[in-house]
Amino acid sequence: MSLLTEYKDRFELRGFLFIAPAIIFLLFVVIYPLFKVFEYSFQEYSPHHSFVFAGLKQYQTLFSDELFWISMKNTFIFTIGTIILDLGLSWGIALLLNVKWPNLKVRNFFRGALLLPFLFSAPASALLWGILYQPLGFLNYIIEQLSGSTISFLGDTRYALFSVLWVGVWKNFPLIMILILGGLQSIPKSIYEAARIDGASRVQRFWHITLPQMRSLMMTIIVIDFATTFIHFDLVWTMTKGGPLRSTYLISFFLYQRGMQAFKFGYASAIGVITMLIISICVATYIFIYSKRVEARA
Amino acid sequence: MRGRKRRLRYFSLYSSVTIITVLILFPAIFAVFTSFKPIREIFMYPPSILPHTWTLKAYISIFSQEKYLHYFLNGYFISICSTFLCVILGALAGYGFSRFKLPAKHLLLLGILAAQMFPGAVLMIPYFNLSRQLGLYNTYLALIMIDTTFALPLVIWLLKSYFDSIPVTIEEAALIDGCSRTKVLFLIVAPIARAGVIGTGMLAFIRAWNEFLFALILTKGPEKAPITVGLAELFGQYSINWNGVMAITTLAVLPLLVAFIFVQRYVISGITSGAVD
Repeated sequence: MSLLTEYKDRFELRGFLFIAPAIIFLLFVVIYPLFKVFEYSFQEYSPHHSFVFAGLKQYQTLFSDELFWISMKNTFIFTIGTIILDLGLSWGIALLLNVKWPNLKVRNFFRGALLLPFLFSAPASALLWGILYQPLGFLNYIIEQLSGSTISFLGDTRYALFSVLWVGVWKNFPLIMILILGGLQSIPKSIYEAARIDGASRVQRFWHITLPQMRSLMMTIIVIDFATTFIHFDLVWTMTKGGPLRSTYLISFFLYQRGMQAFKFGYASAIGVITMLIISICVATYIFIYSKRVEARA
Repeated sequence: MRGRKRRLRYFSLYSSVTIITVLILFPAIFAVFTSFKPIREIFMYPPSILPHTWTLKAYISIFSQEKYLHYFLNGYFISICSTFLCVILGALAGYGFSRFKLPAKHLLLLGILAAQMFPGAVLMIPYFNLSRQLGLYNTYLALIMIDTTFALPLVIWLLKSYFDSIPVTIEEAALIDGCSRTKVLFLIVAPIARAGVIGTGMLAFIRAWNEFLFALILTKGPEKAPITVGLAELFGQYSINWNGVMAITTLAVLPLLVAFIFVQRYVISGITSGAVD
């Protein structure tokens, strides 16, 4: 038996020394503030008296706050819309890139080029689209040629949320597209070959091979996309600040506005706790299923 | 006959993918062209994509504003520091998870997986409050620590899986010769896994460079704030100098673009192996 297999067979507490620095960082920067959020949410903050215990008052006020429900509604529309568009766009392009290309270099070039939006920060993407969304901007010029009238992308309550959402999709779908493409390429070719010999059509192969093989990856993607989009902040802050008429008030912006502008730390923390609960339920379900799968594999 | 059919198929494939790529990249292309336009062409209607006269005025005016120099240098400093910190901490932890049999290891790994999806924005109130109490408000350190922490779970996860794929027998000889574990990690294992380390580091850098929310709430003015804050405050200003704005945006993405061209392959493999299945 060699030295290292010996190591592998017994608990080696020295290993914790390697993990400890990272864990300390996570404890100090995530776990400790996390406790603080819970603590604040049961308190009332005033600049002179600091924090005072307030019981469930913040939560009671929150649930009767109209703006909370508006933000929740907007956030759900925003999140679900983003996931649908992300998946639609990513699947379409990933399937195109996954067909047999005469030249792999060309395909990899396109794959790299299509990933570029991912490199832009949210404020940068907001500016890129901001100039196109201008009242007399490029998009309105095209729309005017087609329909004779123009659209106020960010100033009209009917379009603002979607206009912001679209910038998020533009910036984010390349990552998902790369993931789906990676997943598609990891499906063994032999399965397709066997199905073709058995006379399965293209549609049948997609339906009975591709989709089932991609199921677990799709779940991962949807959960990650949900968890990150539900708390999305950057684009709304940059582009609309919640307006017009609160039509783009997302939950994260509501939290920011109450906490960092109105300095209602307790109230904002209660918003944070509720938001986190919603995301946690989603993530916990996923982790549960994931760990079951790991156990099943082991 | 078959050859002609195949040529037609390839032609339609190439042309459709080219059209899609140009459409997707259009905002970026438009931005670059706009940054070379003189100011009088910005509000021309109908708008044109290409500048009629090319000028570098927008870029020159940025470099003459000290504010933007600050924003850029702050962004570089914060991102580079947090990338290094992240890779070092992540390599240690990844190695620990990969090579040692630990109690509660499975649970810790699941915790790290969950941490990847942690909604950091809910922590903005304690961050703001704690940073003031600890004297970390408007410092690089606060942002470096936060950027490091939020990229760390992914970095650990990726580096662990890269280290897993390196056979332990390589390390045995060095360990028998009396080499310490840390030396083994940084002199033998990490260099072998360098593709993974580069790709992972690049992902951490992109994250830090593009981080906005915490930079917004934990800094005041251009003294310590990175470029994302500088970009965001440009939005929605009336009588906006779009050529200048597009020049700044172009400059803000340029370092990532240049780095990305060199390490594209590693980044893509990093993204793909980050999504566990």
